Amino acid sequence: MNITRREILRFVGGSALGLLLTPIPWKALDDSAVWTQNWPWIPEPRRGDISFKLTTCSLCPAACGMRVRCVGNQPVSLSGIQTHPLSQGALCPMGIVAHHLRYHPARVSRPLRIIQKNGSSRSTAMTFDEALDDISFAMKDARVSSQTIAVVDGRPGRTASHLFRQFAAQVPYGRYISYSEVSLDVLGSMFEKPIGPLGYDLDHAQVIVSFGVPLCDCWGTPARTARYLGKKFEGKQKLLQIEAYRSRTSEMADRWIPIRPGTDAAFALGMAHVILKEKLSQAKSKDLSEFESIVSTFSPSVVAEVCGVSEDTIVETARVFSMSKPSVAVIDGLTNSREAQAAVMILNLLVGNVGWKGGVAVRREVPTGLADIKNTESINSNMYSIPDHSIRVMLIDESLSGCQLSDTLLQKKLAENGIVVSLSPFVTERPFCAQYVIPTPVFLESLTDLSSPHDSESSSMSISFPLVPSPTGVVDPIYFIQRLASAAGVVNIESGTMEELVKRRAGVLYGEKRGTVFNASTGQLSGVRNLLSTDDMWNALITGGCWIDSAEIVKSFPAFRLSAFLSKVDINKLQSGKNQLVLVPFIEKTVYSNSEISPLMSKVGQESGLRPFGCRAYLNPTTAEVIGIHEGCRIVLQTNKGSMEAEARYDASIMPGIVGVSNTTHPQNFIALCEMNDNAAICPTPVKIQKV
Amino acid sequence: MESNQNKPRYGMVIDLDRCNGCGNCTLACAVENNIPPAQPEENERTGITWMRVYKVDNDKPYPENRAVYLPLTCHQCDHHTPCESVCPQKAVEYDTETGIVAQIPVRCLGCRYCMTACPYHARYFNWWDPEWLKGMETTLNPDVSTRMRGVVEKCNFCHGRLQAARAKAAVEGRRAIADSEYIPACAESCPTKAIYFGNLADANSEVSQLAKDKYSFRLLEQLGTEPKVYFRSEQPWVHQKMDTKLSAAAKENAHG
Amino acid sequence: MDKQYIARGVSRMSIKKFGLWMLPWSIMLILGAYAVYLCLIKGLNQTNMDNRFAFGLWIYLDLTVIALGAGAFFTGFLLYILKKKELKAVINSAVVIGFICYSGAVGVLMVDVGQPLRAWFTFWHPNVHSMLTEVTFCITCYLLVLAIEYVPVILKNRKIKQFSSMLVFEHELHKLIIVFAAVGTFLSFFHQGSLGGLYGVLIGRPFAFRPALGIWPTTFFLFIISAAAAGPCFILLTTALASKLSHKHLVTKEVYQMLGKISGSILIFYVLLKTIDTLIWINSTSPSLGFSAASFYKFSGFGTWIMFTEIVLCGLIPALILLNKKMRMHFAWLITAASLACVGIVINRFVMTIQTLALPTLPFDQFLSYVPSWQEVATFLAVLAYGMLVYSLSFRYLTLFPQERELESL
Repeated sequence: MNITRREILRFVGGSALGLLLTPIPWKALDDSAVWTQNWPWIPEPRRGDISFKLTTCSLCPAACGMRVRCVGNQPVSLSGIQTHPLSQGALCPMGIVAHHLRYHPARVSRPLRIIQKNGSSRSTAMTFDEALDDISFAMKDARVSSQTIAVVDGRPGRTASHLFRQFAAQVPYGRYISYSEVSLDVLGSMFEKPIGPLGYDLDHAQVIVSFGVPLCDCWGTPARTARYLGKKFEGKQKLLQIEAYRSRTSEMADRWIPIRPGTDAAFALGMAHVILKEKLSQAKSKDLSEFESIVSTFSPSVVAEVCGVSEDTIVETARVFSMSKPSVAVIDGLTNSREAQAAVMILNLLVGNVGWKGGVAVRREVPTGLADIKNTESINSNMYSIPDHSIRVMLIDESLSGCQLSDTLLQKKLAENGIVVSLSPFVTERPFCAQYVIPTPVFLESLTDLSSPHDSESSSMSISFPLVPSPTGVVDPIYFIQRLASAAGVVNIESGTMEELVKRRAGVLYGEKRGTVFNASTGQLSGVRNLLSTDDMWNALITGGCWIDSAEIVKSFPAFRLSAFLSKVDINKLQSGKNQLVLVPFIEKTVYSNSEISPLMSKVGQESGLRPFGCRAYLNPTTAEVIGIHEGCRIVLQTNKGSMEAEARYDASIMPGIVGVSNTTHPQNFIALCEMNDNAAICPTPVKIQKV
Repeated sequence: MESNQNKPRYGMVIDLDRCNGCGNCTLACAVENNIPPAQPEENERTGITWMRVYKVDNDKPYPENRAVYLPLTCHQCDHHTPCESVCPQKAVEYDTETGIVAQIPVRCLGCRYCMTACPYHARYFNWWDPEWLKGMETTLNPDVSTRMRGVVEKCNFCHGRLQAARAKAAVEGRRAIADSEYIPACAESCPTKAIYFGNLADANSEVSQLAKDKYSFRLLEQLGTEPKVYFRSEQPWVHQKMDTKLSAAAKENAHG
Repeated sequence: MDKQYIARGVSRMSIKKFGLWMLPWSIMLILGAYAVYLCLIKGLNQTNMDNRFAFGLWIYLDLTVIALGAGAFFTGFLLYILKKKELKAVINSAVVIGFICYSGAVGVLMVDVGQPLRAWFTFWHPNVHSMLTEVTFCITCYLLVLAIEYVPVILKNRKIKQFSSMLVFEHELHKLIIVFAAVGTFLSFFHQGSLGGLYGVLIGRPFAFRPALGIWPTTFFLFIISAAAAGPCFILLTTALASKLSHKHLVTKEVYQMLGKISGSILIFYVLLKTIDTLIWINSTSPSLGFSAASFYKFSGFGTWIMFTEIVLCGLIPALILLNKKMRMHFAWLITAASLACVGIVINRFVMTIQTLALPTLPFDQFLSYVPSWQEVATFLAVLAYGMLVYSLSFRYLTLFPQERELESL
């Protein structure tokens, strides 16, 4: 049979046309559209019943109420509790993404032994028992050589804190070091006898003078900004922000007073000088005359020169602060010397606001319901009073973030043969490397009680209740200290699980019949007296509620010394290099505090540049032009302690002559660059810049 | 502004005097809408931030330099929506029921024409495939689909939340949703209450009244895109920088 | 060795030499293919485009090659519709160049989009308001037309001609050529225009936005006219280049003159319209959108010299040269003017694509810069290499220049 070319062409053409009439090509098109909707390896969200659960955030002392949206049992998003009296529905950026911390790659699931050699570190996993053996052996050694065993607690006031204190009290040469809001610690130590836990009552102050404290940037409770703005717009509160660069808080404040970095002490003493001179203070102190003679050198003209402000500014600020009552002065703890902190706290003493509404709040201890500890005086220390290189075993509880442990200071106090045991969910790169890391749960995985935020009038207590199971292998700090105690032969440690002990605490609070309880499920505030049973208290606390103490009425105070920390103060030493370039840290406080953060924080960091990230050096354009640096170029920062590479950025809100450096990545390189003062606070450091 | 008595026109007023640039809105938006964290090479120009906060300053030298923080999201342009008219395959849709400009990622070709058309830079492209840390993908929001690389995405006023509110109302036998039942993640998360959200077509709503306030303005008013996001500030330099005279004139014309 | 494939009466270099000529272009093509592979597999993060520069080198390249490749449709229009018989000498070359330009542009477009597998969605869900829908439809159709116009040129190859069925097919096809030319002109008119319309409708980019004439912005018409002006110039240049490289006379002087003259007259018309359009933009359109035209030119490196260069130096001057018979007769002036005209078009497309995106729109935007990545440049060079390879093969084995045979015998 002869098949012609034409016939073949006809057949092919006809088939093609016929195919169009079948569903095949259309279905193929449709299917391909569906196939291209998403690659198979792109994760899809899991389905499940949606529910909202309530708990409290444990990332920092602000203890914000949290509403957790769950799919099945899995938390998928976090928001605030609008009716919460302390947090008022606000969260901070870290809190919004806190539910991701469980999946952080730096998470530890087994105890680790870390050995550092020649700049690199190697870690080996070990069992919990092995770790306990090692640590108790070191403790025995410490006993033999009369060296200190210290527990460092960055979040004091918890049930776990009490157990740490019990432990320290029974261990030879034991010390309990709590690390809270440093400026308040300084104020407390100016009194001859301890006056109790302190806080700043910012809600009721009419004037707040803040020395570099990021009040409107998630310091204290994130709701502070809204509360301040509400009062500001009604003329009921004034904020004077004193700092070298125009931070977010400076932008929102009533007045921004730019001073040269590192001159806070001078400014505060200048204010004190004016207050004393114009007889605006009724403060009575044993060493008033001594103080007066110290302060006499800090006349407005001298201070104006040192700080780079006008004399009028100093005088006006002093007058506003002392004449509008109530007023309060606050200062940042991490980047200021003890002298600066003392100088600012002295202002509070001079206007006599300690124990008064709108000033420094004197709070009551929140009872723990646990056995009293004898001789607490002997074990309670702060880092400064411990001799250098004396700690043989240092147990640091970093299971909760939100505290500012100064690594340099800790390093200084550690003995040559000292070991550090870190209770932490993560193992992070720090210069101050722990030899042992004991894994603890992260937020949402474990129960913990939380004590008061720094910026509220009264004590409070909240409970962060777990919503998800913690991975096997992690232990909560209470369990660790109980096991260590028994391994080390320490007898009187409370037994019981975290939940049992915290529940006991709730019961004790109920028994005290004072204060109010907020129940987040109902949105109601009720007096503790009006609760029906302990269960009411417990149920309120474990569902995002809180207990707030009634305000303390302080009748009398022990005497205080004004010049306690000022013996070495010298006006000449208080100026940072006037004609040199000075390195100043931007420490993004709560947002990047001592812990890991969710990778989603890249949205406010590298993906938008909203917050500093990476190694960036911010310079005023005029300064940059003088040096010859253009935006985006890579530079080397050289101090007499070391050097670091960074990317240069222009920022017109920075004082000329300053280089502001973010500390979000490679903090160890950055901190190593800076000069430290006596108490290991980072000082403004002279720096040279070169192009790479 | 096309105001329809029956159909809502969702919009926002953002108070620049209240925004402290914390970044909560950016993060809450990323959590709600399943936006992946950055790749190592991703930066300010390739990152995906449906809600993004800019620092806007008055161009003055130190110490007169002042700044406000400006949260920027899709303005859901109401008139001749620039991105909608240019999409070659109708992957952008102005929803007449709500005024929200929706993006259909499964239809998007990734030609990025809409991105050049948008004067507010509200659109973002998936330059990479989304990747989450191991385990973190269990925290994805089931109300929002994940996208793949090669498609454009943008804010849709948390449309998933609107659907959820409608579903809830339907279950309870209601047709209309209450104002408080629908709020986008950014407005909800703002700790200073700088973001007001609501129905601009309802003359009694807070948003509507704030929009008419003499201190409110819109960006690029003169382009005639009729954006549904307003900004507000009592600081004169902000008005000068944003050239708000036309906004003021438009308000006068509209409301006498 | 391959003499049987080469047309009678013309000589070509030895196959070895030809191989050597093709080698660098082949390497460039392979490198480009690797860059394309990276972009398709790893994603568009391989480029330096970003959310602000959503369109980059590739779109700029597309617009430019399509404008330059307009010579194909315009020459066809002039030859088959306006019966300018002299252009028969270059029509084949023009078609091949057009084919290269369009197929290269479509190829690059497939890499440029995020989801090439969804390319057909435009046909399924077309948006009548979008210029890009218009561009997609017209370019794909026109590419088909160009392919169909290319086929007869291939079929006339010495060896292929020997198959009688091919000859018959080619003959039949040729009868329809006028239809294809007309369709091609129509399609080309629209897509050249809609490429201009692509930017002219952008109300969000006051730098590019232009008022509408009917339903199209003025850039629609300006792009068509500029493409019509540049097309013949580009044909002129490519013919001259082919001539130089092959050391042959490929066309008579009259052909060059005609191309130059036509180009010049359209170019002067274009310059006039462009000037009027620019003046209206400066005085009315831009200010009405709240942007003074001067504000666009205050950034370092992007001053008004660009506008001046585009319109005067590379628009008015070459037009005047090409219209002046004496200067036109002088080959050097002719080439210079044609080059300037093409450069003018290249600048115009650059200004529309890259400069538009660099300019701030929001009051707090910065002026941005963009530098293409090596993958983008390699892809661009691959198109060039592809063009060289296809054109070289066509030149060797097909009759691109019918006049060559008689000119060779002279």
